[in-house]
Amino acid sequence: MSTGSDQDRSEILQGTLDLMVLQTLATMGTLHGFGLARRIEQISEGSLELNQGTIYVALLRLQQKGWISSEWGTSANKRRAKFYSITKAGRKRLHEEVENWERVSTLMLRFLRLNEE
Amino acid sequence: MLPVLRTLVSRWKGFFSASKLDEELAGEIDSHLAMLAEENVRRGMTEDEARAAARREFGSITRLTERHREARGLPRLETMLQDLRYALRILKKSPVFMTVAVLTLGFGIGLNTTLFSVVNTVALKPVPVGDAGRFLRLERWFASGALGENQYAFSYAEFRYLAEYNQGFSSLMAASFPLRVAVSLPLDAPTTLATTASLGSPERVTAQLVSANYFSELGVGMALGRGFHSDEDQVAGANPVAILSYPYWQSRFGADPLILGKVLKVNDTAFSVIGVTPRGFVGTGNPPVIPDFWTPLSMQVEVLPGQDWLNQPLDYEVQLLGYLAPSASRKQAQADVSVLEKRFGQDHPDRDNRTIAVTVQPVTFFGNTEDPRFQAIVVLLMTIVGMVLAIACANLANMLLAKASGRQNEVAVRLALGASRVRLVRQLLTESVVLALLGGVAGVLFSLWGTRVLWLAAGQFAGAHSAFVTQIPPDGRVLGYTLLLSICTGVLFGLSPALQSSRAELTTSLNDAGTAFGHRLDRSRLRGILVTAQVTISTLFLIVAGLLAGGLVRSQHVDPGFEVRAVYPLGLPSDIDPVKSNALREQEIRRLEALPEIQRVALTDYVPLGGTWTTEVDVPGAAPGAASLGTLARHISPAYFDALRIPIVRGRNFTREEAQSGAEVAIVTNAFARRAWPGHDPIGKKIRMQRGFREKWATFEIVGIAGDVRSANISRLDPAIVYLPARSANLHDYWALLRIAGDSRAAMAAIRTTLERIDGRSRPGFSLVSLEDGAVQDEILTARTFTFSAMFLAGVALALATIGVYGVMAFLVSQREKEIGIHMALGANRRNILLLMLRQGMRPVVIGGVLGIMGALGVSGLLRAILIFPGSVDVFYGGHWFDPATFIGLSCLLAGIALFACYLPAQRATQVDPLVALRHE
Repeated sequence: MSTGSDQDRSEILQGTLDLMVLQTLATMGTLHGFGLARRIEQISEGSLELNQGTIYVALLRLQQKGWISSEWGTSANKRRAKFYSITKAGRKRLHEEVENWERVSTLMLRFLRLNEE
Repeated sequence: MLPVLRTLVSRWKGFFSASKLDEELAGEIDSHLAMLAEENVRRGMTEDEARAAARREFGSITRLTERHREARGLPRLETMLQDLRYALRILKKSPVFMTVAVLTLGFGIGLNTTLFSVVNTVALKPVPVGDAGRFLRLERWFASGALGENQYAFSYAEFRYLAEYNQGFSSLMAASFPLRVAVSLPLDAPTTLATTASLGSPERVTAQLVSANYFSELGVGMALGRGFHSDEDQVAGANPVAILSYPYWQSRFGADPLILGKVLKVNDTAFSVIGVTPRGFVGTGNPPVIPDFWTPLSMQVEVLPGQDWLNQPLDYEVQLLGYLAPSASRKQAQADVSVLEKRFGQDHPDRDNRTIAVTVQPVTFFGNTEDPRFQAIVVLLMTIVGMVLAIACANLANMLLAKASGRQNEVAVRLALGASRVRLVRQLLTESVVLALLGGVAGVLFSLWGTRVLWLAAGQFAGAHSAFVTQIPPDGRVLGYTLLLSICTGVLFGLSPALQSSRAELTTSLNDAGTAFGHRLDRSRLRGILVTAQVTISTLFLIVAGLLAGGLVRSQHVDPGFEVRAVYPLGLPSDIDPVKSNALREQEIRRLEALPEIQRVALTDYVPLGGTWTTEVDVPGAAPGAASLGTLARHISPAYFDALRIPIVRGRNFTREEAQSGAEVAIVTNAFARRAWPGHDPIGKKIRMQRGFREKWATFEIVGIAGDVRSANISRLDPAIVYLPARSANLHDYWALLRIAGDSRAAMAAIRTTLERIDGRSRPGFSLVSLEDGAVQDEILTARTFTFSAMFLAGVALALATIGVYGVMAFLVSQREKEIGIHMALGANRRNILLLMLRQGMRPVVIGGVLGIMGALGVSGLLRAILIFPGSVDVFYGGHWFDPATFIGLSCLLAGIALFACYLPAQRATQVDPLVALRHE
């Protein structure tokens, strides 16, 4: 059973994972679950340790909120898979979040640099 | 906001397409794994290694599926459904238990629901009229402190006065109390006012006289025809119109669509039907009766000949109802009418009955529901019935515990597999709640049947009023109450077993060593106390019911000590002018005396079995302790004793002259004489008492002793009566008692003719009721109702106690299986085991029985002690308050039943195979 802090950590993780998925879909277009997981691993250059399965929970949540949509299709290797793409609402949300992150990180950096001096 | 909403919608959809989503996810996972495996193969692994590595990299599939499921549906709802399905499955496995439990609960809940339903309809719900929140009834308060129905009675003059000058009400209406009148109905097609040929024989119906604005102010739209016009109550006798009630129109006229214009003949007058009230209209109650028809107050003389409401300012006959003005508060309206009433009282002083205040109250069907006595009774009843339910719950809890101990294994396994305790408790509670809800459904069905029975019984009891509300539709409030009650019940009796079960310690349970060996004693003591309490209550109820039943049997053969079969009370006519009134009465008495069918005509101011006057009597020089007695008294004419065939055992009767002049002589009963002057001759002794109700004191000389009678009620011999001579100067309050020889029908016809000739008013439906058919039957009916209710309660208590005993015994047996196994292994035979269990099971029963007997002794002794005033009813009809046959017999009956209830599970205990018991549960 997860303890309190574990749960907090996983929630934060969920939030950032959602964002990563949105960003990846926004830049790379339509992907299936496997492809998405691979891309995220590539971009993070291995610093993100993630069980690949967890991406599906993130995809479910994003779908529920209407930020991505899905469709069954066939992959390059002739496998049946579900393909996900970002929606207009999703793009809007992504844009808001990016702005948010930029603001927060600038602020934090300023503080932290301050401390150093 | 939007994403949250979308999530909710999506979750809702996910709940319904759970399996489809599961499949989809499985499909996705499959292809993901396959793709991973492919990649691994490309990197150089073998097929098997590739697949294994893929699995590892992917992570736990089960965990993913779980989390996916959690995120996607409505988890709380899903677990509740799961619990529900499981609970139903478990219940189906033990049908006997389920049936017993549902019936027990159904009964307990049904009882509560019935009572609540009745109270709701009759007392709590406001009368179903428009804007009931502002609809009020006026109540007056007398200087004498008199309470009761007469607090709602005002005179017509007061009505007009208050209606004109009040400022608190936007409208004021007057409505009489329900009246029994004789009505002749048309046999067929509409008749004109003139013909009488096609009218049927008269029947008695209930009528109500109302002001013309009654229906219009209440906002009642007629089902047929119209209401009263506002001018239809202005001129006395000018508007013989009637509005029928819906039930009356349906039952008596077969819902005839051509009813308008048909004629009802009430006494001499033909009333034309102008409308029919809608189906849901029940009137304004107080008493809770739907009148058969309404007619304007201006028609009072035609409907009730011999009275004059419109012109008598102190004749209190009508209730006053009104709508509060939008600008006024209740307090203001109350103060306003109080002041007006005072002013009216100054113009028309009522010396006997001064009104000191007027208050207002909401209008309920029953009448005065703010009377603390009424509320106390309701609370008492609901508490009693609530306790019945609580006992039923306790019983069920015991039975559930017995069952639960057999499920220790299952619970332990589930806990071991990771179920949280909360989840477990919730699931066990669900079982109880499901049981309770089933019980609730049974309860509603019970109560539908129960209210009907109760209402029919009450309708019988009410006697005089025919149109009792015959149906109580199940109300939303009642159903809500039942639902709440069921759930609370389920939680109540399910909580203890649920908590107890879930506390199972894992290792001990799994090792089959966790039994109740050395089980906590405080728990079982509580159970023992509960059973003892149930047995006590059952014994108490049973014995009291037995005593009452004995009384009922005795009541059938009681001899009142005077003639009841052939004696008929008759009210004497009256007129506005008191002198003319007296003359009329004297004429009537003389004419009646002359009739050959009538053997004797006596006068009395209190008809035997029809009310009493109790007064203080001073006996100077009497034996100590008898100096001042509360005594029944009445004024009689000399023919009284002969008419009622009461013997005069010593001395003489009153003479005619003594009666005419109101001489200061008295006749007392044997019982009185024995108490006041034991061993002495009472003739010639003197007593001091008031001449009449609230009159001056005077001294009377005893001239005769009469036989003892039961004239207050037939349950007990009157302790003392004093007879005073009637004063013919004022016959205002007197009744005539007619002893009739032979066939009563001939006599009735003769009496009717005589009366009609005297005052010229026709009496089509005239008939008298003998004392036996009237008063005596009423009392026996009361006794019967009382007794049957007690027997019913006793039966209920007994059933519950039996179930309780059984439940506890079953639990004990289940707990002590291992111990029994050891006993048997050590050489005890079946009989020893049986005796051992029975001894333990019967101990609380015996204690309870003894306590119950003591309680019953106390109750019957108490009843005897407090009900000893003159005129009180002896509920046991002379039965000894300690009747050994009843007490001992019924206790043994109860003990026998309890023994049987103990025996069944104890018997099962002896079937225990010691080897099996020792090895595992």
